[in-house]
Amino acid sequence: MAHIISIVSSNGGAGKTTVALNLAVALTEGQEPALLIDLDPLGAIGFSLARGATKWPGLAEYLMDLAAIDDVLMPTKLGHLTLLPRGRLDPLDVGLYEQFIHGDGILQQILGAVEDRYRYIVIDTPSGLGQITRAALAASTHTLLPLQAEPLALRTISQTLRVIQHVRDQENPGLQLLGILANMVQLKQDVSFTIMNTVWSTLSGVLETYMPRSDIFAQASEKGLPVAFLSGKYSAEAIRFESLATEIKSIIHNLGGVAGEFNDRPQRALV
Amino acid sequence: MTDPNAPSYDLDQAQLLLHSLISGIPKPSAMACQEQGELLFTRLQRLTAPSITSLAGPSARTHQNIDQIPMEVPELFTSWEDCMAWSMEITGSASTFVVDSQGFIIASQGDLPERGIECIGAELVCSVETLERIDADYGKLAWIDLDFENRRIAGFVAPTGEEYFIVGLLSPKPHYHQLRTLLERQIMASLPGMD
Ligand SMILES: Nc1ncnc2c1ncn2[C@@H]1O[C@H](COP(=O)(O)OP(=O)(O)OP(=O)(O)O)[C@@H](O)[C@H]1O
Ligand SMILES: [Mg+2]
Repeated sequence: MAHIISIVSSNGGAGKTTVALNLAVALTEGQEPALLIDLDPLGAIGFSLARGATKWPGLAEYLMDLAAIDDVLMPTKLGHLTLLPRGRLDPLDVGLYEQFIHGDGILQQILGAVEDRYRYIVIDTPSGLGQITRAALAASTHTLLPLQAEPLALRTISQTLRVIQHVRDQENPGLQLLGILANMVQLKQDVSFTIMNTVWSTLSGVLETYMPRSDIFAQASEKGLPVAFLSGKYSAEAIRFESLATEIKSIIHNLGGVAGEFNDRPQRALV
Repeated sequence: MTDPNAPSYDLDQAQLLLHSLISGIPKPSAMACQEQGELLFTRLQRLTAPSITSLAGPSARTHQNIDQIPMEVPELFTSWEDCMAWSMEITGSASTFVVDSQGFIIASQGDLPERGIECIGAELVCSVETLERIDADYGKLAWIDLDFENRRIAGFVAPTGEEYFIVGLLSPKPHYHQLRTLLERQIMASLPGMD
C-alpha cells in the first residue's frame, strides 16, 4: 500500500505545485518508487516541467477511454519517479473534468490499480476547495498543507482545515494531516517574521522544515526542472526538500505507517 | 511583540481544527471545534450541487441510462409551481415555463433568458397550430422539440378539452427524451386537480 499524499490549500499560489514536484523528487531519492499525479485541471505539473503546453497524454485520455492507465503513466529520467500527467484536456472542459474526477470514486479506482507499484503517491491539487480537492482528500492517506507566509493565507487557513476535517469525518476516516508547511518564508522581512512567529507559537502541526522564499524556484521553473536538478552547486532549497522528505517519512512512521519499507524491496549488493 | 500596532490573527478556530486533526481521535476540544465550526461555517444544505448524472453533457461516460437518474415520482401536482420545479429538476433544464393556448407565459421558473422570452410563448403556440396542419389524421401534437444551434426548447402540449397548455423546458439535458412518458403521465394525471 502506497502512502498517498495530497498537497492542498485554499489559496492560489501557495506553492502546492512547487512542493508536490520537489517533494516527489526528494521522496524518490531514497530509491523508493513514487508517483506524482497532476490533478490540477490546468495541468500545473506539466507546465512546470515543460516550456509550453505538453502533448503528454494523461488523466483526460484515461477518463475518455482513449488510453489505458498504463499508457499514461510516464516514466522519468529519475527512474523511480513516474508522472501521471493531466493529459491534453481542452480548457473548455475543465468543469466536466472536475465532475469526472469527483464522481463515481474514479480516483480511488485509478489509485487502486496502481498503488501497489509505489511507495509514495503525491497528488498536486488545484487551489480552492472544490470537487477535485475533495476527491483527492477522499482518496488519500495523508495530506500536507503548504501555507504561504503572508497575512491572507494565515487568516484563511481554517477553511482548508475545515474541509480536511470534514472529509476525514465523513468520507475517509484514514486521512491524516501530515502538517502545515510554511512556504516563501522571509524571516528578515517584518510581516513574514510576525506571521512565522504567530504560526510557530499558536498552531500545532507546523512542520519543522520550512521553505524560504528564494529565486531559485523561479530559475527552476524557467528551466522546467525540480530544484534538485539545476546545474551547479546543489542548492540549499534542494537540501530543504530532502529534509522535508525525511520529516514526512518520520511523521508517517509515527502515525503508524511503515515509511521507508517497501514490501517488495529487492536485495541489493553493497560492494 | 511590543509594537501595539502589531497585526493580530485570530487562530482559535484553526488551532481547534488542528487539534482534532492531529490527535486523530476526537477529544473534548474536537467537540468544541465542531460546535464552533457550525457557528462559523454555514452549510448550504439545500443548495448542494446536482450530481454528475444530472449535470454532465453527452459523452462516453455520461451517456446515461434512465435507471441512473435519481428520481422519485411525486404526488400529483396541485400547482404549476410544483409541476415546473419537478420537471426542471429531473430534466436538468435551465428553466421551465407554462404557456396557455393564447401564447401567454402564465408561469415560469429558473434562469430565463433576458431577451425574447415573451416571444417564445407566442411562437410555440403558433408552431403547434402550423404543425397540426400537416395532416389532420395525425391527431394532436404532443411534443415540440426545437433544437437550435445554441439552445434547445422542448415542450409538452397538455390538452384540456378545447384548450391546451404547453409545459416548456429550456435547454433540457439530453436524457430528457427518456423522461417524456413520465412527464406526460404525471402532468396529465395532475391537470384536473391543478389551480
Ligand atoms: N519558496 C518559494 N520561493 C519563491 N518562489 C516560490 C516558492 N514556492 C513557490 N514559488 C513560486 O510561487 C509561484 C506559485 O507557486 P505554485 O505554482 O507552486 O503555487 P500553487 O499553490 O501550486 O498555485 P495554484 O494555486 O495556482 O496551483 C510559482 O511561480 C513558484 O515558482
Ligand atoms: Mg498549482
